[in-house]
Formats: sequence, C-alpha cells, structure tokens
Amino acid sequence: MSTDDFFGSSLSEVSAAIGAGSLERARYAELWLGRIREHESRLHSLIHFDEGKARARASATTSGSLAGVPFAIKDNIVTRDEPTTCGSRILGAFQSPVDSTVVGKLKGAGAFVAGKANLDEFAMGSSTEHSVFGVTRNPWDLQRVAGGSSGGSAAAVAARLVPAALGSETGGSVRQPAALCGVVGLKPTYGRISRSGLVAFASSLDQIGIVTRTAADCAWILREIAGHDPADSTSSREPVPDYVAAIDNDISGLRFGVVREALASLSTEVRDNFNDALTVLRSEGAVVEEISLPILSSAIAIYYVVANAEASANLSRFDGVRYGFRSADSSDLQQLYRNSRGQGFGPEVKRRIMLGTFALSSGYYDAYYGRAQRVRQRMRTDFASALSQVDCLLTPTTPGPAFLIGEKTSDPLAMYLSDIFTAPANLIGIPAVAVPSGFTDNGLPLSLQIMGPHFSEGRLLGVANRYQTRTGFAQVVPPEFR
Amino acid sequence: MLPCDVPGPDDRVTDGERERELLKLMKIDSDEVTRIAALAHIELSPAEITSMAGELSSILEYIAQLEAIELAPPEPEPEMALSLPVLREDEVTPSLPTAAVAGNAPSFSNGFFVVPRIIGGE
Repeated sequence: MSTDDFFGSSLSEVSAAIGAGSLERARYAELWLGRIREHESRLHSLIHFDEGKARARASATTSGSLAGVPFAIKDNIVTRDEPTTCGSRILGAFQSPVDSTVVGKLKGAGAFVAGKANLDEFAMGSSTEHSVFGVTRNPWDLQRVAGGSSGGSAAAVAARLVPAALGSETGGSVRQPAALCGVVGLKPTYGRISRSGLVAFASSLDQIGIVTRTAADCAWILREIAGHDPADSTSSREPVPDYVAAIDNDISGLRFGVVREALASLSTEVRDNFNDALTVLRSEGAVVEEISLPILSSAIAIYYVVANAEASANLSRFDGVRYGFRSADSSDLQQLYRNSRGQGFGPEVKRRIMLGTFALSSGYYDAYYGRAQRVRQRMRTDFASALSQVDCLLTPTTPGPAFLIGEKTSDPLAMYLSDIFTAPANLIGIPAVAVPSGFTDNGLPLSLQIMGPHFSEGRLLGVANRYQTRTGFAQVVPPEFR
Repeated sequence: MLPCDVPGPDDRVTDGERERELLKLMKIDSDEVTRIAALAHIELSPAEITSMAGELSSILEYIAQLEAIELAPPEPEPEMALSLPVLREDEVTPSLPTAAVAGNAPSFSNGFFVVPRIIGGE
C-alpha cells in the first residue's frame, strides 16, 4: 500500500495488509497523524490533540481487526487518557478515571484515540457553533458549518484526518453532520451500542453512532462495538449479527418507501438529487413506492419537549460540587449551584434546560411532556405500520446542504428544523444511516437517509454499500484537503 | 441538589381540552423565566432573562402544533422502552479509586466534598 492511496483504502484492506506484514501498524498510524498535523488548524475538528501522546498510544496498540486505526472520539464520550469537556466550560479540567465501554472495545480491537472531537456543548445543537472551544469548519467550504452536534467527528473523517470517528445521536447529531460533510453516519438501534461512558443528554433518545467514509467501514467497526454491556441496563441482549457479511447482500426485490411528506418543502436541487438516488436503487432491482407519514412534521415539536425535559434532569448533576467548574463568588450552597451553572453553561444549554424545566413543572407537565409523549407513541405506531409495508424508508438526510457559519445562530428554531428528517429515528428507536448522494452546483455534499426496523443495521448498511459502490461519491476528497 | 420549594401555579391543569388550550396560549414573560430559572438552579443576568423570554415563547409557539394532532381515543399510552431494562448480576465489584474521583472535585478534604456552610452560618 503506497502513501498516496492509504486514505482511500478500506479498513478491511488495511487490516489484511497489516496482518500480512505488507503494512506496518506504526507507519499507517503515522500517516494519519501527519494529516492531522498538516490540516487540523484550518478545520478545528479536534478539541484535544497531543501528537506525541497519540504516537505513543499508536505504538502501544494490540493486534486486532482495527490494529493501528486512529479514531476521533466525540468529546462527550469519556476516555481515560484525555480530558473530556463536552464542549462546555462547566466540565472544567475533568479527567475520567475510566474509558467508556465503547472506547475500551475499540482499544481491545487494536485502535487508538487520535483526538477528542469538537461538538455543540453537551451535544445540543446542529452546527457545532455552540462549543465553548469555537466552531468547526466544513471541509467542503470553510465558511460553512460542519453540522452538529458531532461536527468535529464528521469534519475530521471528511477531510481525511482520521479514517473513522465516534459521535452521539439524540435527534440526528451523527447523521446531520455526516450529511453536511459528505460522509457516512450511522445511528444504530436504541440499545445496540453500550452508552456507559457517554455523558447523558436525553436518556430515552441517546445512542452512540459511527462516522466513516463508507458503509463497509461502518460495518467493520459496528461489528466490534455492538452488543450488550452489563454496565448499561438499556443495552440490548439481541445477538450481534455479522454486519461485514451483510454489506454484500443483494438489494434486488427490497421494497423502499419514500416518505411523501419529506418531499414537500425541498428545493429543486435537493429533490432532483434525491430522485437520482431513487433511480440508482431502482436500477439495482429495488422497488420504490411513496408512503405517507404525516406525523413526520411533528418530530421537532415532540423532540424539543422530550429531549429537553430529560436534559433538564440529566444535567442537574453539574452543580459545581463533585467535579468540574465551580463559581468562586458564592457564599451559600444555593448560590454556589446557581452561579456555577449560570456561569458554566453556555446560552443554548441554558435555553434547553429552561425549556425542559418548564415542560416538567407543576401545572404544565401534562400539557407539554404528557402530550409530547402521547404524540410520540402515535409516531411509533405510524412508523411501525409503514415499516410493515416496506423494508426501508427513505428521505433526504437534511432539507438542505451546509449553511453559513452564523446564519442560524440567532434563530434557535430555524437551527432546530435542520433535524426534521432525522429526529423520528431517535424518537422511536430505529436505526438509520446517512449516505452521501452527490453535490449541489456549489460543490456542497447532499445525503440520502435510509431508515429500517429495529436491529436492521445489516440491511441498511448493505443498501448504503451497494449505493456507494454504484455512485463513487465516497472517493471524492474535499479540494482543500487533497 | 436539594429539593426545590419554589411554588408552581395553583390551578393544576388536568382536563385534556384545557391542556390543549394551554399549549396554544402559552407566552413566557420575564417573571415566568425567573420562576423557571429558580427551579433549574441557574443564575441569569437581566439581559439573559429578557432574551430568554422571547426565545422560549417562540419555541413554545412552535411546539403548540402538538395540540392539533388528532389522537384517536383512547389516546395512546406511551411505551417507554423496547424491552425492560436488563439488570446485571448483583455482585460486588471494585469501586473507582477515591483519589481518581476526588481529583476532579473543585474542593475535597479528608474524604469529603467541601461546600459553603449550610447550617448555622455566622
């Protein structure tokens, strides 16, 4: 394997080359570290990167299917050897005494942590502009956002600074930045991957996700990190199938439902791109039909009640007492809580805690939280009914391409609506994958979203893999990062 | 955190129709922001209170669309999870080392997290 093509190789090819002795683990890792050294300053995808320590960790990796593979880990997933900030001031200099289960599994397979990836504070946002450490830029246009909240993870993979990254999802926080950066983003079934060591945002929605260039690489990683974990009671005991074998499955005869309500508000450019993707699937023998799911339009309203209600409870643990930032100017305990939280949390996190606290407060609980949960249940039954008629559901991943930095920061609602197509999968717990579907006239990536029933990751990655093999968008590197 | 004793509005809403009316009509003013901030233990500046009132009102106006969703009676009861949580075996395992945990505390002394005096101040 030459230096020129190392970042175009699949993880299975890398693993085979390392296993056969034709590629040295340390050299492979070093090539990636060189990419980070050369390009990271223009992107700001990593909050924490210590090249010397990363190199030392690379040389200490064990053999395994991910031997020598560097990962960017979203900085709300705890790691023993790096700080964990959640993109917030309130974590201070927090240093986890343990690795999250998922990072432990990656290390066990031979991978190492290259750096901690930037994110919207506590994963609350859709642009990575709400990070106390500054915005991450989109590798396809440095004036535009990388999406969020896993913007650092997506930008780092898209710019070829790392071959793979982990992110987290609450309403689309892996798929949306993956779409805006032109890479693959998988949100697995609720419970498929252990969340032990993921800082909780909304516990009925949160799930760790994977960012890669290709669906095949995604399957390679999912095989290593999926499965039950005694440390996470919400992790599923469902057996882990061979995702790597599943990506070669034929998609001929599979039935796809295009969600009609997702098409109504699209620009001509996005709609044409989506229709082109349908043409590719049809040419592979898939059956594509329209399906109606009017409940889709309620996704953001449900999401912002449920997610923020849960967040207001989960984030009560950040109180300036046991870890993280403490306000210096507090004479009593109540003031210590209020000042530490008032000074430690950024504006978006405060807004969401406030909204969630309101929705759970006496007199409003039934009207807001109760109503949102009942409509959410309706969404579950409507999607289950749709998925009994077809094998997969299709929408664009996002209503449009990456927006300009600063374009939506003054209008929280406009920002929230960029998650309209992704939030349903979190609300009902199903898996979904975002796969690059081409470019706008301005050269910005667009993306196809494929959703399926619970635990259908193998099917989704198989469809995505077939689509990527046919279209070749995964091979296009952002011009600034060639 | 200590339980909060800030009172909510007296007329707790229970009737479905009134719930939906409440959704439609809700506006958040500065007094309401102050009440919520006390519940959430977050100190806000006067400027934050003013901007938060407008932002929360417009978000709640958007959320009010939930009122228009027709849920065929009987209204569905939410199911919280795909399956019941799986409990691990009740076995004794080592705890985290105290020093590693205490090292993250803003103030820690003699095995205790240190906070301002709660009872019997000067």
